[in-house]
Amino acid sequence: MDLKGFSEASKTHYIVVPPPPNNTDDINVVNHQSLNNSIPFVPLLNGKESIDALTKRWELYNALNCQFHSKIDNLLTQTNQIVYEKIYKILSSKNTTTSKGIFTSLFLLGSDSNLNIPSPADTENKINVIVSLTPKESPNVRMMIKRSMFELLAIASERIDPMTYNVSENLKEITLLGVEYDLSLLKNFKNILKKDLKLIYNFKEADSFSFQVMDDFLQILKTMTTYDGIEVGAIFHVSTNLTNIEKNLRQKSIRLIKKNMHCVDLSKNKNFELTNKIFETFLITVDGKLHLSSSLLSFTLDKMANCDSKNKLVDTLIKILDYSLMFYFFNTSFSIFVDIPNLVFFNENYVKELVKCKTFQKFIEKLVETHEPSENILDLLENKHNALEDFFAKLLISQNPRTEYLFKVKNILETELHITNYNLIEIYYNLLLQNNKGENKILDYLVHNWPECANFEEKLAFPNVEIICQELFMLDNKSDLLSENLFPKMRSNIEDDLLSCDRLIPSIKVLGLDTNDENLFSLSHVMDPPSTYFFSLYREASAFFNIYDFYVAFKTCLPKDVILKYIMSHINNYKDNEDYNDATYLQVDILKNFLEENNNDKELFFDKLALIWFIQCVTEFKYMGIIKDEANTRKSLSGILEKQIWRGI
Amino acid sequence: MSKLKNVVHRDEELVFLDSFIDKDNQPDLKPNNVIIQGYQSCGKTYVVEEYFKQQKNEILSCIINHKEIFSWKNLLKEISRASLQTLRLKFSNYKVSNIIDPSGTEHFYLLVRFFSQLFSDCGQQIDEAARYSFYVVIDKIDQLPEIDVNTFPKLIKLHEILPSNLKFKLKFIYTVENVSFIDKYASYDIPTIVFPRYTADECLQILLSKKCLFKASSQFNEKLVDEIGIKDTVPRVKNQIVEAFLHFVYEAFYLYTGSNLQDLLDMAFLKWPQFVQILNNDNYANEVDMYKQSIDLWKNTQDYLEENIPGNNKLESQYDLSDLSKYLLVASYLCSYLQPKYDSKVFAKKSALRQGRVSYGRRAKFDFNPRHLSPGIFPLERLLAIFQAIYPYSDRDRNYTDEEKDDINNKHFSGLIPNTSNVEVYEAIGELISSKLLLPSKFLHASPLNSNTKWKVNVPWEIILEISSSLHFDITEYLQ
Repeated sequence: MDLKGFSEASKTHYIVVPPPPNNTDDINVVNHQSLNNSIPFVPLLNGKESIDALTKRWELYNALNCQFHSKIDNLLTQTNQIVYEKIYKILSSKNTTTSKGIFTSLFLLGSDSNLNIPSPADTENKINVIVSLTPKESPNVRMMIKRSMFELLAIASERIDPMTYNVSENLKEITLLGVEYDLSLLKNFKNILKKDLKLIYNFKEADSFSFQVMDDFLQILKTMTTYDGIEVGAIFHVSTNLTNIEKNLRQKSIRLIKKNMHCVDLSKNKNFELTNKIFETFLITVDGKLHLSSSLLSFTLDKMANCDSKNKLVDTLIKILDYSLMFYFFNTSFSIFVDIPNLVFFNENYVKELVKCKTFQKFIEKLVETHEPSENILDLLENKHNALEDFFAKLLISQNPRTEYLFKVKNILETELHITNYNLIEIYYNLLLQNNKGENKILDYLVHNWPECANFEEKLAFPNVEIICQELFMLDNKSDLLSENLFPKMRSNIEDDLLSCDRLIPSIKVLGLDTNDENLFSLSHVMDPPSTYFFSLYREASAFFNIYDFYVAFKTCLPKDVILKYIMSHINNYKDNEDYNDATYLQVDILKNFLEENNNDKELFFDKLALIWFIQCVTEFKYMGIIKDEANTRKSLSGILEKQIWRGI
Repeated sequence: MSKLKNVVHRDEELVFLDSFIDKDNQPDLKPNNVIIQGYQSCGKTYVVEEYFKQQKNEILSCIINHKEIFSWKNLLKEISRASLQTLRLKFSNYKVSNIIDPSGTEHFYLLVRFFSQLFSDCGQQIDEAARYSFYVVIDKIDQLPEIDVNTFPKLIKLHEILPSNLKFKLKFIYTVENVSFIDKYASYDIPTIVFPRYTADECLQILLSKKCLFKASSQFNEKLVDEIGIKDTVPRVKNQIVEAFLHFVYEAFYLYTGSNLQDLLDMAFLKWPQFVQILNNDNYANEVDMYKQSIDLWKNTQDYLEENIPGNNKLESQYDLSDLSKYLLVASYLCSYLQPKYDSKVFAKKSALRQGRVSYGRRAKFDFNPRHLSPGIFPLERLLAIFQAIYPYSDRDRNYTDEEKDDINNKHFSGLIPNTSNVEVYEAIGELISSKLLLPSKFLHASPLNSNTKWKVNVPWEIILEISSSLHFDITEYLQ
């Protein structure tokens, strides 16, 4: 019997992973001509941006993005590596107390159950097997045993050299069928395979298991350890707190677990350690050139505070940084100058933007105040003799004082004060804020949180500098684009989409279809989807509405004449039109039959058509959670619908 | 019969057992079924195991461990498998014929067929006149899962269905914990041996009889040799220490575990490594000193998972609710314990416009109903509405720049308070539901997307008070 195939067939569910797209890597290779169509960026500077600059911007963005992600991946794998080593050490450690009835238990705290733990290497006369169980697969003890024995045998028979040893023949020693998926397999394991076994159970999402089942299963694990040549281990992935597991198990089982228990903390983010590293990586990736605005930082902090589990926090941070970078490159023409060689693209158009910049204007004002020669100032403003360009180039080369300062603070905190529980993003945020005296708040913040910092005041002081042209290199959350895209408001989004359906459905022109094409039957030529009409009515209605009244209103707001005319024209000539494809033909045919059933009465026909749409819409809206049957009625159809809103407040 | 050396305080019961079991190979003279009744952890299985171990040359037997059984089909298979194995050991030249497959015995009639085949095959190898009993011990038959009422009668009548000319006679011994189980089958008149609970003194003695388990611990021996400087060859001191330790365990936890020896032993195993650490040169000879210095061990049972982490007394909680989820939880508590009709009065910012009775209709005095003390159910929209009413537009204690303040004010007055119903809120609700802090009113087809599902909060008052105080949110104000 093919074990793998059989166990595959007996699964209740499958996980399908879509294949990765093939052409992610060769974005940079594609030549310019085809790029014009494939770059999602649009020319900025009122559309005057040159194609080359646009391409450079796109390439630069991709390069930075790739760089950032590869660094992050490295970082994450590194942290995982450390954890792996710990887990290995525990799993492969020899049981010091060899007495029967004890199994190794390992709690992975803060795990999201995705960690793929490879089994320790086999030795000459011992096989190590890891068997995973999820709550879905474990409705009761019997199924758990059956499944795990399946897997065990499948893995074990793969590992054993079939030339020297015939597994299936030996299995017949127990039963004639060859295999029996219960504990008899374990009991006779040493007899059959002539090897010891370390069986490690991997309980994924341990806190969602039915604890009654888990409890019974732990007792069975204890029984397993009494068999000859069998060692047992159990790994629990705990995403909540350990107390959650503890309070649900019987005292007896807890004592059993405690006999040989280990904990490994997987939560990637202890004391913001990892988020700090990620943020640092980001700053380094953009070469310290870019600034982050206070609104973006406060937004990031807010969203991070809303994360329940610490693993989610890391994902959220990466996503926000990712989006902000993309938004910046999409939106800002100056973004190409992050890479200094791109200065060759600098021209008239950029000068206009640069001169408008607030901090630059302030700088000019200062120059005027200090009575600089007016020639110099004019040169700067009009870019004579490339004065402005040179000035700009100098700006680009100079270091970003904020980033520099941030790393300095980090160093002092870590090496001299041994503080690790700081949040780098919060420090950056406070760097941007100003207190009443117009000074940076950073010092107040540091001293307030870590009084030891008072001794380093001089080193930690940050001069309140104006950074010229910082607006041009600022990642921002302008117009709430990030908040809208990363954390969309569900309800208002649905409502907006329903009101203007072209947000979702591309109009006919975009699709490149000809409105006058007589061979194509599509009502979208003459009307919006019915739900759009339905929703515009719904918005006007009060909280309760009578279903019939609503239907009548719905019917009248449909563009009746246009629809009828369109349908009739198609019905009249579809018979002789050979260009129709099958689907269209069928549609029109159905409509014609429908019309004939109604004795060619157009009014009646349209009423019924509207009714069909109406019922469809009501059902759709119910599923969307926008309307419901009237509350407080026990009848299934009361004729009254209710908006799904809370009217109490 | 000779006394079993590993069994103490079960002499009388052993005599009874012995008298019911056929040792002289005259199966017709002894009962076919014997029940051994006794509550948890009073030595039933242990005694039977030891008994058959001692007699294994004279009596054919096999024991079914109840922990390996998951259903009655499984039980039948296990019976046939174990019997086959025993007989195979006994008659080493016996070859399994193709017809006999223990994993095929999924029904009683198949079991009967299996045994008649097995017994007649094996019978060919023994003398014409000899007759044997074959004992199957089924452990804790009343505790087996998925065993229905009919299984037991079928088992006890199995011997009647088997052909009478076989040279083996199938006999069962059952151990049972619950008396009510025996009462159900009282009319069958099965001989029953009752194992009483151990008394306190007996418990202590049995505990002391296990001291070799502790003496063998390598940690203990190393400690003795390395630190205290006692040679391995002085068994008296070791004995003394272990005995003292077991006495402590017994004195401290007998009241907690009762006569359940297994628990008491587990407890002793848990305490032993810690106790060994406390031992030193000064206290090992003196019981009182030992007790005084290890007093923390005896104050609680220590069967918590968290304390076991070395070098970290207080575990940092891995999983913490965010402020957003906390506000949602508070809102759901308010939903559950406030009358919906007062909502507009309590939460609406414009409640000044409609004051008094007008705002919530006629006032009727409520009858006292204990149901009002349990959390009420509410639809999800109400939770969202109340959440919006109580959620501050910024919960972070920090000063805003002027720009930000303007921004917030604008949003507030245009009704765009952040977080009102964005994805985060829904995520947080999902989190609350999966951690069972919010419960659906009915568990069948419960889903946040279904408007028929109502919800209720699953958090007691003390905890919600703690949560709301951590948010600086005065929940008592709303519940007066």
